[in-house]
Amino acid sequence: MSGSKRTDYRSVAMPRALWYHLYPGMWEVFFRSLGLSVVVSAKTDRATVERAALISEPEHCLPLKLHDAHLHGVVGAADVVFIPRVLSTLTEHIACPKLGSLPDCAVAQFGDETPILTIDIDENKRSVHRSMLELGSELGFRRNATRAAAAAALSAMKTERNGLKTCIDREDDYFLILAHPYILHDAYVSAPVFGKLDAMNVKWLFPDYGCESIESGPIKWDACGIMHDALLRLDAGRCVGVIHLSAFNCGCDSIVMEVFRGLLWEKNIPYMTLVIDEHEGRAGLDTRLEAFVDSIGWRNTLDNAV
Amino acid sequence: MEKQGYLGIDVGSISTNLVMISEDGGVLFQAYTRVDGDPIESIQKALSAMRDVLPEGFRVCGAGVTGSARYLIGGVIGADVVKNEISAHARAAIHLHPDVKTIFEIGGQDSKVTVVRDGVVVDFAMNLVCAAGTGSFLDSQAKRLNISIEELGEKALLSDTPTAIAGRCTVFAESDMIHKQQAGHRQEDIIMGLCHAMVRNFLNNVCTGKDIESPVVLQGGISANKGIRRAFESMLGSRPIVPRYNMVMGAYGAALIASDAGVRRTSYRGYEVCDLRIITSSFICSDCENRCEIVEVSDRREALARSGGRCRKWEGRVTKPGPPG
Repeated sequence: MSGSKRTDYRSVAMPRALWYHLYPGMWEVFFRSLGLSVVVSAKTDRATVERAALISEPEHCLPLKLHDAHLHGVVGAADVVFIPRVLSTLTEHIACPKLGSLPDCAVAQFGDETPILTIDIDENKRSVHRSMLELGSELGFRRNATRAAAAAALSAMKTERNGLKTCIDREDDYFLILAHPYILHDAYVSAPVFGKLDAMNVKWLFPDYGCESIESGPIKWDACGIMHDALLRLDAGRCVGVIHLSAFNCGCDSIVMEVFRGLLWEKNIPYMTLVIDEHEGRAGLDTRLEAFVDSIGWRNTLDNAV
Repeated sequence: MEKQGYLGIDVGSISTNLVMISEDGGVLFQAYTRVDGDPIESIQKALSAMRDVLPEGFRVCGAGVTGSARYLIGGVIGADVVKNEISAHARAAIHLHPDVKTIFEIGGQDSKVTVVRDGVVVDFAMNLVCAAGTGSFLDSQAKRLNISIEELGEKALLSDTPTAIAGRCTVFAESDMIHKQQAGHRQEDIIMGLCHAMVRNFLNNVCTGKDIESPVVLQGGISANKGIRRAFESMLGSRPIVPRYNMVMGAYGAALIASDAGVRRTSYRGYEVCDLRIITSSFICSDCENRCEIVEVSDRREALARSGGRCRKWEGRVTKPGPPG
């Protein structure tokens, strides 16, 4: 991995993309508590998207392209770049396989310029908490220090997640937004959608991606499994529509969409998919959102008339 | 002739359409004009043409705008209602054919399917960025064959054995067509094959997972094409209904929606719009890192409308940006 002793790292850098958003606020608190200084790439902006288009493989999904751009931006900014190998974030489920290759891709691309630090995240084998403990010990930190850092990291993530609107069992008249956390939390990608919904005065919520486990269902991808679980519990009397925000080319989404469509058809809840990519055009997005909200208004008029 | 009515304008990527309706929803005037790069000028032309047809002193009680440039144009003409094109097209189709269950609307840059039950929209889908299932696909192929789009429709009908053409992508379709032409296929068969490819692409991609039931209404620019109508008929097993105002249904719907809206006092600027000397300029918003380009439309005196940017702060606003910070 590198010639230098790992305890010598005094600073760590990480890209603000993909896996970073799966654990909001967690990793920087972990490393900071261990006494390292942390550099996280700046939030996605137009320059990031332009850089992604320039350096990344054109066939990748937008979140993966953005990961390339964010990574490119932090190489050399600290003693080491951290990229975990995320294999699963939920027991009995697996992550999108692209996440598992990220540390190797980074070594292949930037191995000459920076050491890459990684750790396996596989909830089927051990909790993310234990993964952090292992990482701390690999880095040569004392057990007590690592324990305290991991506890602080988990609690920071919990606080961060509490700010999200996820109480789908208790709210009324809302739209449920399905999207992978790395789409939801990247404001550059999701803000045009949320801004439009706000401008139309509609209430929207997310599924709770922080849940520790779900009942085993047919869908084995972690985030998609959580979405499916939320849909199973969805009450047509409370949720007025479901909007699935998906990155162009997402293989997992392309398969689960058909399952979701069938499930929501049975529940009589309107379902719309919105595919996003790096193209800037917002007109199509606005049209779809407006028409979806319109059609639900019409539908309610019909239901009331009957 | 009626003395008052409601105006609907549809500003699409290829055409600007305008419809004036009477209070009972009858069409008094309709215009289909090519945009040719300047939507505002095309509206001014269409409005001038309308001035020549409608009686002196005709009163516009309300105006609705739809289409991809609706927010910008809504600001310019002073629209009372700005509506998305899916709702506008559906409004008009349901008005003319109350029993419609499926609406196919294929325009220059996009194609849509709208599922209607009991007179309300229950589902819809639009094509993605790809233009393979849209009017511009046919346009470009007609150009390549060096015939007009009208001729293309007529010629297609002469075919009795359409050639199989790959319709997944315009690039592949084009190379496939060249290949078939070099292999000696007749031109009319290739053209009809193209119509089939386009319709197949639309049904397979845009309509995936949608409940397609008859009666089907086919509208939008492409519904004028006889080859396309024939292709739909052979693939659906029944003839789609092409409504009377098939080319301007978006504008018709916008007018109907304006008439539904119960506008008390319209903000429509009237024929004054024709005389506006429109200047389009743009500036970079420096409020955040994204540095979005904001387009501003103004006449000599004042800014009329703005659009652009990832956030919504400039939408419709007409005050100048303050100093940064």
